[in-house]
Amino acid sequence: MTHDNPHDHDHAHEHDHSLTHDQVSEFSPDDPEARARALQSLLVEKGLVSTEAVDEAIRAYEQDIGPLNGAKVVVRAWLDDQYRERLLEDGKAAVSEFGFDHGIDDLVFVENTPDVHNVVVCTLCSCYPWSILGLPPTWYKSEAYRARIVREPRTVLAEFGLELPEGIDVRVWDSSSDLRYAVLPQPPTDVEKTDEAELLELVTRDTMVGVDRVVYP
Amino acid sequence: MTEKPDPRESTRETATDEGYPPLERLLSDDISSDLQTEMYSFDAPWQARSFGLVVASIRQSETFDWDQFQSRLIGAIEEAPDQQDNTRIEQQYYQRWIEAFETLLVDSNILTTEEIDSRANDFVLNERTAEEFVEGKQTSDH
Repeated sequence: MTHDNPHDHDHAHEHDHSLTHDQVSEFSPDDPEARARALQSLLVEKGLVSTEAVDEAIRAYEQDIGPLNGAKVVVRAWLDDQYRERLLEDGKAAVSEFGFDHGIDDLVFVENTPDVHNVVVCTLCSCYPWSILGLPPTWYKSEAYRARIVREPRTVLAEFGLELPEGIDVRVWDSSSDLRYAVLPQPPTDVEKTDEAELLELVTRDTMVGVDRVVYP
Repeated sequence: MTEKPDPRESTRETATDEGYPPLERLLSDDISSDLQTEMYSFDAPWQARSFGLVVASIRQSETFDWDQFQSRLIGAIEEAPDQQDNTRIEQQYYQRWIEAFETLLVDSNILTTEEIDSRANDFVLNERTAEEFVEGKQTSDH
């Protein structure tokens, strides 16, 4: 097997490589693997992208850019009211204060309250707040999630293990426009007294997508 | 005599009442939900390449931007057949990425379909290999 790119040597999913390749018919130029290589090869030749930049984008999304970014934003919003206001006013600007690798999303934070629970979906193209959550999980891209969370949010949330009381209003935000939504979960009641590291651990990817709520220890 | 699988059983396995494959299996496969340190990753190197190529190219481009890519991604997903199978979601998703990016490059007059077909064929026939993406190697090495 050839190495697809120089980062693959220690990848667990290298095993999947041949499997995926087989599934797409071995010698077809329509094979997405061949097309991805062709596009990269041509763009590099034309000086429009460098292989280093492609590898760096992959590395960043595999190693650096993940839900911990989002957790830092959320915890700061919990502890600093002025930041919270800035975040709800202009998510992109407030998140940019952290200096995360950015560039592909215009972010809007929607705030959970005792009466309102927010949940995020992208019905058309599985857009996702990448810069603060990293890569989307498989279920987020499934047609089942994309279609059903809009039509029957409570039922779908229950499948995630989140049973919401009747009194709570569920709002579904579709990221299909030019905006990427993320949820600002509710802080624990003793937020001021809790250690920042502990707070960070409470904020998971699922709480920022809105298929879960922050669990108070 | 071997037991035939109950057809109702398989229907229940592959579709909900609304006709979508059920979420259940996807959720139980998702190990990263509670762990910030467990980063979600790619299923195959070509999927990583597809994602990285689009992200890096858009960042460097003066010709096209994210919104132009996204509108083509929406088009590619709309045109694709419905998902019948939850096990191929990742593959199909990144396949749509590559299709959308191709459309964007052709629409922007950066590449032609013939050019892409021909280069893809070179990779299929092993006249080119991913070695050309390894630092220090040139395309002429093959």
